[in-house]
Amino acid sequence: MHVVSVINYKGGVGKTTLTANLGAELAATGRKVLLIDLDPQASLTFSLVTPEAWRKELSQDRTIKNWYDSFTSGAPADLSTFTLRPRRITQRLRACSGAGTLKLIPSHLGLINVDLELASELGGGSLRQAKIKYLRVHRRLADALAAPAFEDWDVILIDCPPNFNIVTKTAIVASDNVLIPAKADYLSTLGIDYLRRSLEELVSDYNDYAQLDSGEPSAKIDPQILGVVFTMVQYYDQRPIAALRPYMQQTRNLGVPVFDNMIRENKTYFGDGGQQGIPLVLSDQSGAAYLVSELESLVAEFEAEVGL
Amino acid sequence: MADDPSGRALARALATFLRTVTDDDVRALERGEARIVVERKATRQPRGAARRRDIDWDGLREKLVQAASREEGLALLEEFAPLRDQLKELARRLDLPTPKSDNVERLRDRIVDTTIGYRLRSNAIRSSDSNPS
Repeated sequence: MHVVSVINYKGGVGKTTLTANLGAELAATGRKVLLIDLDPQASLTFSLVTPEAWRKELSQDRTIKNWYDSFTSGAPADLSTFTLRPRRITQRLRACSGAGTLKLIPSHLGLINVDLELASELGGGSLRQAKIKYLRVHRRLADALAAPAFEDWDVILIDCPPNFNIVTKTAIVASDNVLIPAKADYLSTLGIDYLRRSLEELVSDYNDYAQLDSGEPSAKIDPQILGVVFTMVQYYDQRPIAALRPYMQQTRNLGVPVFDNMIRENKTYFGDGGQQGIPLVLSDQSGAAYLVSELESLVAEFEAEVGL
Repeated sequence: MADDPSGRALARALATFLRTVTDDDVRALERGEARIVVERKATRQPRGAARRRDIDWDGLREKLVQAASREEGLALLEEFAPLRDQLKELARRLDLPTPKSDNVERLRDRIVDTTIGYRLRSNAIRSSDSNPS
């Protein structure tokens, strides 16, 4: 099982587009894929499930928020019971020969309050108590994914919110890798550096706390940056336009892995943001064939990097 | 000297000079009342061409990517690529787009930012000193 968090401080860089298409194509090629939507905006959820169905069938008690809340009530729920098969993409996958599985743990707009709840669990009378609580809170998602029910999943993709609050940190702690979608512009490249720094600090703090003198030993974490996937890329003469290339090269020069394959800018086909519930990579629109091919290449590169 | 172009030029210059020297000049020189002086002519350099020289583009690029500050980078550009078309050529070699309207100052800023500035920004963001908490 590979757990990959998809994250960037900056919103609107194509995180959900990347996560949805990556998950869909992996499932279409036979993998068992779980998508976890940790963003209170619930973009990934609404790209696979209609808001009406979400409200009617999920919002009450079947979202990731409900799972986090169950700890507050003192009766932690089993995370595997929150997975669901989005109807429309499941039907499309059934038409693909050799397809695997794609499931989703949906988000909730109220997830934003979970950070406050988790923060209230931190702290303690002694340094040791504070460390134990820190580990317990930050390992919440990792411990849940370590359950036998998740052993069979090939890939778990976590769509993280555009911040580095506690909910996001629980995703990072649970992850083997971090995937960073980014636009090739000045502010996005700054965001990559912020993210790298935040990751380094989290890993350092966590691993420092994990070294307890006695009591419960806790394994260290070592999530690796899988790479940056540049998104919304404009092309000219079969390569990114000149205005974007310096930022791409600067990212490489700073030692950050950069995927060779990128996501092309196309408002026509990416613009509806999953309104139809089917990520573009599974589209049968003839006009999108070249985009589908590029997405397939990106996924193949992802598989090679992750080691699937 | 027959094979030495600069030597032939010097000989011509001396011959020209000697044609202008009179007998009185020679007697003044002998008495120490006159001396021979080399005077440089103030020439207006042709536009661009005289200041153009072969630039080691790879070497300049290497110096820039090793530079530790923007000031160092600007100094390098002023020394090794002072002209606008040289800066444009360097930008082209760095795969850096530059609008036609960019003047020398703006070109320098862009080049320095793309070779040095981004590293400084990255270091500033990633250093622990910039942590507000």
